[in-house]
Amino acid sequence: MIHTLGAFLVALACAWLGVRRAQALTARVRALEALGAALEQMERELTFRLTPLPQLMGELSKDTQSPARELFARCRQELEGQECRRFSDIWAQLVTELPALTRDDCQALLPLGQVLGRYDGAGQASAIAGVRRALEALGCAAREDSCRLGRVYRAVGAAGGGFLAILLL
Amino acid sequence: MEQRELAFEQAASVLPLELRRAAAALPRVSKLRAEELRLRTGWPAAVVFSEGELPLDGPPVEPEHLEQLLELASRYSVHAVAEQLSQGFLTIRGGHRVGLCGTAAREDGRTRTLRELSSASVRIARQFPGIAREIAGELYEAGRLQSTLILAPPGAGKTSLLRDLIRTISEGEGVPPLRVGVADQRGELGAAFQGVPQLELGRRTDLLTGCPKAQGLMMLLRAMNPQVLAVDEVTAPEDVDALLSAGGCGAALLATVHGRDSADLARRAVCRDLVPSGLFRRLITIEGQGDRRSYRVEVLE
Repeated sequence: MIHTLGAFLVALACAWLGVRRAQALTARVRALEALGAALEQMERELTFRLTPLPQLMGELSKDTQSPARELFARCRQELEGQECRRFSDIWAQLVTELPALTRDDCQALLPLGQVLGRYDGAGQASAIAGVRRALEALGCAAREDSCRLGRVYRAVGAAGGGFLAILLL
Repeated sequence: MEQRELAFEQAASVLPLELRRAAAALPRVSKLRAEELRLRTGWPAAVVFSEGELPLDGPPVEPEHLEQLLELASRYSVHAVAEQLSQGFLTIRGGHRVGLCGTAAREDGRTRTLRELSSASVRIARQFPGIAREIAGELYEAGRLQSTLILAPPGAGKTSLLRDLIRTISEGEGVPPLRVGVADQRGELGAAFQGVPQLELGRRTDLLTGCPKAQGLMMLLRAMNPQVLAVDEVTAPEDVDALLSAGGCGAALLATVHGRDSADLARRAVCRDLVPSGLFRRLITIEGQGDRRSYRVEVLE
């Protein structure tokens, strides 16, 4: 009985691992979509309203989806804090701490730290548009990965779990 | 914390951390008397009193410090203060003015912004409620406020006097209350932050911030039906033209201009026409320095 239960748990664990890997791919797609949408709103605000950065970060933290929401909320906190850090340092730290993103995704976002708040509205908007294009390209690749590899991970997890269970029994 | 000390802390809050620490280490009595903070590359930061400058303990100012000051003073938003920056200054929360020097980046014959910053001054704004009370009555004739020009050299307290005149007239302290429209291009009069004036201008005051003076006066006239129009530092020919136009619309004017006396005013091409135009019926000059100022009201014929 214990033997059977152990085999069942191993099979379940393998299937869960597969599902987790597939979920990570989906989470990356969602994160890239949320960031892309947030940057689109940021671009509009900077072009038409010239909103100051702390206020803009506050607005974005209310109107966007996770993980963009958390990114902008923390960014606002840092900008209004007493530590007087450079914006580029704050942005680099927060971007690299974002969950669900790959190193390439972070690399695409990092240049904004050198641009936001430092140039006129049009200059910033054009930099944001460039980053959005990069995120869209990464998002397309992430969606493909999620479709293709997501199924593979789930199948391999379930099949591997089943195979181990059979071996154990 | 006393208001003057609070103003000092507020002004020092735009300094990079290590310079801010040096400013924070000043004795309280110095903070209360400080008029400006000065940063020049290669030299320690200094605090300016009415009798002169005192260097602060701390490292010499680096270009990086000035970049960081700009970032903090603009609240990480150079795009939101680009217009002010193109004129070499920006106003921070509390109405303190940050003046900047560096290399002008020019485009189409006008200065677009400043780069390679070399020095900065943070002028500490202070309110002196009540300073206009004594002279406010002298600005009225037959119950009507007369258009008034405040004339004094830089740093003599023109803006402080104008601000308190606006407040006194708007509140009706010892004089009939009037609706005042304020064209506050540099944000020094009201220091509005997120729509709320940080400095007292009175309950009947409408504040238009950030708009060029000439345009602001006309917008106020059209939109807010003011009985009094107030504007700080008339410097450009278009400001004078706007004042002359606005003066003919029935609103009394309150304005400040740089100069020691009316002879000084007559020498400046831009302001030469202001007094002979008959637009202004009162001229206020300021004497003294530090906390001891006196105001003289002259009736213009």
